[in-house]
Amino acid sequence: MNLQFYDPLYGQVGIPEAITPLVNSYWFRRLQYLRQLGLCYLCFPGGNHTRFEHSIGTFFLARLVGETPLVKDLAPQFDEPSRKRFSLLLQLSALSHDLGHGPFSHMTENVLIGLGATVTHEDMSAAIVTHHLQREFRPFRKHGVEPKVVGQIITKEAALDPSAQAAKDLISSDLDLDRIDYLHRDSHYSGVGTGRFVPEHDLVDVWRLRHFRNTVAIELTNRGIKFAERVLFMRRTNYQEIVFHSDHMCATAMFEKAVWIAYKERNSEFGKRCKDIIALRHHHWAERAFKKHIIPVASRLYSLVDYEALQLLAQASSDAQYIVRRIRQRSLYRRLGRWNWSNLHFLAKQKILSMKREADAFGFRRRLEEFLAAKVNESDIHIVVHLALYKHPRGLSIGASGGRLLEESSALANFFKEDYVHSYAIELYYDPVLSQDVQNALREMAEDMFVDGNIEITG
Amino acid sequence: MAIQYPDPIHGLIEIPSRYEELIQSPVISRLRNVKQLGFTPSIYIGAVHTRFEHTLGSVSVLMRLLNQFGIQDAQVRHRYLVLGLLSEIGSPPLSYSTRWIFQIYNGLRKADYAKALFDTFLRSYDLLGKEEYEVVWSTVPGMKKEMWFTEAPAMANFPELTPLKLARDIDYVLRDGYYTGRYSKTFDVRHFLSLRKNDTAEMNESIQELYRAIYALNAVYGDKTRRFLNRILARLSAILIREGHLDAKSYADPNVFIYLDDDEFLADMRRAVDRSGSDLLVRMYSMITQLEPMHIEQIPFSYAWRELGLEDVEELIAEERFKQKEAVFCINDTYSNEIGYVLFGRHFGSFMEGVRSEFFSRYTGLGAASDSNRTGMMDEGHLFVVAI
Repeated sequence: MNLQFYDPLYGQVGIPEAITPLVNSYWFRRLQYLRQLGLCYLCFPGGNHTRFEHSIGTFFLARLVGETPLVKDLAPQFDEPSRKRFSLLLQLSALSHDLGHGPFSHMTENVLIGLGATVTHEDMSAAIVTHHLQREFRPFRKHGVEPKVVGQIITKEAALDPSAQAAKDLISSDLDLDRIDYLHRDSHYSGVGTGRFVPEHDLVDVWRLRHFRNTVAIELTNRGIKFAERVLFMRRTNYQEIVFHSDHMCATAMFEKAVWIAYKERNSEFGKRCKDIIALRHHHWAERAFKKHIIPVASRLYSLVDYEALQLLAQASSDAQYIVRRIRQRSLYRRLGRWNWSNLHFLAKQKILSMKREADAFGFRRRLEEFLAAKVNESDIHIVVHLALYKHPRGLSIGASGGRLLEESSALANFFKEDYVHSYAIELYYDPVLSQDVQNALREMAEDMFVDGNIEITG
Repeated sequence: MAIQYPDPIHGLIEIPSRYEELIQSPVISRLRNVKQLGFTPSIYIGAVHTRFEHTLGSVSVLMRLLNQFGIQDAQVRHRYLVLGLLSEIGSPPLSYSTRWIFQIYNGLRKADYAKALFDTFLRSYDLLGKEEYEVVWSTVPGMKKEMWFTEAPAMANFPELTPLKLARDIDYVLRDGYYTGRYSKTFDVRHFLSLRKNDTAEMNESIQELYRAIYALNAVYGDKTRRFLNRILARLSAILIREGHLDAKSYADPNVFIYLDDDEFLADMRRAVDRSGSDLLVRMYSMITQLEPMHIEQIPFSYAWRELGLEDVEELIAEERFKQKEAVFCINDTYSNEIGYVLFGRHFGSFMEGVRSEFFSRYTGLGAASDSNRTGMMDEGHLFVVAI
């Protein structure tokens, strides 16, 4: 029997019979217990949506785009079998792009990578597809779809054949179906942001296939450029209203702090699992060593779901338990201050710009928290810092790699390129158990550090 | 000062900040992890909304309802707000899906759990005076009918409606429609709340529109997969309790109940299933947690079963066709005859009372439901069978 889901954004989504085993596999069903936005439900009561529905939604968009006649009509050398293969690759990688997410996806990952881990969730997704889902992918072999190619699409590896390259551009680029779906979904569930759109209307005639240096590539049409501008705008508002919401940032920082505490704790189970992952040597996800050594070790943490992770975290130490309890009851820390980009001192700006990834920011924040706590003679579990770090998609190309950039054809995209730094901010939160004097001292010190530049920024 | 909650259905919900402590108490925080529709996300994948949102949404509608009826008295408003906030605290994990354990086996209603939680954890919050306390917990829906509401001419046709029930019905029909993606915006709440309180005809029409919308949502509530999953959970818990692996009586203790959200409950079941070591139970558990697809078979109803209950028929089919006990689940194909239950059964006593057709026609403005399907087991049509 055909599997039918009903999605609040797109209505009926039928799963073709050949794909059903993948959707029913343990690895995919597990996503039902991972919230897409982590702890965002604490400040947006509606933000409960899961990675499962996001994957199904991305699959719906992938099928819509893959089967659009406009994509089919161009690029005549893209014959029937390669079209079929392209469409399948698109659908399968849309379904499996999030399989490797651990509990509280990016939050846990940022801490681990900040502490030196090399395994990313994309590696894990690719490895799970390659090593654990071979049976589910068998029906597609006759169309030339190998799990390994799907893995390459997810991890954005270069040197792919034309149809895989085209699928990669649509699934893991800066303007991809994954992003389009999550922007829409986050808006729908949180009730704020501007991510809403109508796929059947808005996704038509956005991409086309084109001959490009002996290969076939995806590029944006004129209509597509307008749509890309819209996505840039959606992304900007959604980040500012949802991701950089004070309560969300505070909850995230508290959770990351709890993970860090558990990591430091000598005998905690959660910490052990983290350390094991950090100690792993880097291997390519397709190697056998990944299956033999990395997946079993990483799975001990990554296969937990949100709830199990919180439970394990609470057992790590009394400090971790304290923070987890506060997260569960949503008695979050209070905001001591927010310093926007325009208020920041030159040195602070330099410091922020030097951070390439969220993971770098983790180390910086941790040292800053320790420094501030030491100055006021308090334990650092009562102080957390978070940065609103917003990465502009650099070099959004509208041709294939080496093609023209979006900025060349769109003034608005240029504007966003200039604009993104203005979203940067530093926020400082304190536990209400701290006395008023300590709060004042902290505020003064932070002003000195971020605004006046009198104290050198630690970290 | 008010605390603000952004909400996709009502926009910004503003609740006076004196209730912040109550909302953040563990009693209400638990609801953040109790799904409004239980197992429905297995089909309606977006329906992961929680009782917590529903509570806030109901309170938001309730406050606007008070404004509409011109209730300015601070004391009355306070009482209604507290009742609105407490209206869901007794929800068991996975909401109505665990009805079998929490309500039938333990013999406690939602209001009983709510009262126990209130007595244990919220007495010190100084929310209700002594007299009000008696008023609140003396009636099943937790709200004594107020004069201002029943005396409004528009409510003459709907004497069973209390302000809280109306607010909750309005919120859940909008919310379930929004998150399932089916029949969203079937009820215009802003139009309803903009009506003047003595605008009898318009208000009547609007309330009937509301209950027609609830009737339409039966497509969601009556979904076969969801009903099968509920049935599997009921059987699984019955077996676990019978064999002594699950101590369901302990759930009646408010100190245990307060930690029972969806995740905790499923983890508890998991431990019980592990203790039992039975393959069948493991299979049942994985069906409800991994939400595996099931092969639903449709078989014509046999004349020989007409006197039997659903459980007996399940047993018969299991022995005749599958030779394995307790692995067969049946539901009948006329969920719509439970409309009375959906509308009123859970607020007004028993199922049989709920399906009385005069309710149905009065509240929806549609023709009365036929009498033939009132008894528990139907005598014609089809059965749906799942064997695991």
